Amino acid sequence: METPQSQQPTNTESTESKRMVRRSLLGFFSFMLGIWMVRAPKYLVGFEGPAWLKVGVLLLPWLVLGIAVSQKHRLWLEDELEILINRRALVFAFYVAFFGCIALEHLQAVGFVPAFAWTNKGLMTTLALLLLAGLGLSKLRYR
Amino acid sequence: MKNRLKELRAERSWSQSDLAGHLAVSRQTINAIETEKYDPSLPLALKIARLFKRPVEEIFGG
Repeated sequence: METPQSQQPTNTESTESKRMVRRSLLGFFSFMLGIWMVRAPKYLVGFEGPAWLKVGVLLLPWLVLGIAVSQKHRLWLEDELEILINRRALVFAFYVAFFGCIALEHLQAVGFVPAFAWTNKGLMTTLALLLLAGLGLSKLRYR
Repeated sequence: MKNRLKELRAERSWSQSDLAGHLAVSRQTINAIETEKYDPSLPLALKIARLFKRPVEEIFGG
């Protein structure tokens, strides 16, 4: 007697659990990579070893990142909706940051806002927050 | 776009997660299609049609 289709085992749980494991691992390694990138330069300032070692330690996270990005298979197991959401979040972050910078320049030019030196840290933080906001807003739409 | 995905899923007593597993997409995508917030790509629509053994127009015809 055939098993009804609704009772046939599906690979749902393995796909979902694979997705969750991959995301958790990638999240963890991304976090560790980020910590390394931020902290390494501070420790390397007083380092008196060979220059090649200093540069190697500094650039190693970039190498790891480059290898990860260059992989052809989809590390995140993103499906088409997730790709769309990520793309929209990136577009949102880019346009807000871009036009926000232009508006700020204009306001600074006429003296409404005090001028201050842009730092890479400030800009990257702003872009990261905007990207998170974009992701959050896009995901809310598809709940 | 109106679709019959929920109806066809219910005929087989599948959850959204079950259907997502069959189609190798996230449960969020299935929910978005059923609530008509998202239209699937052509490859996904054809995959759905093949899975339910119905023409695409019958599933996504409105």
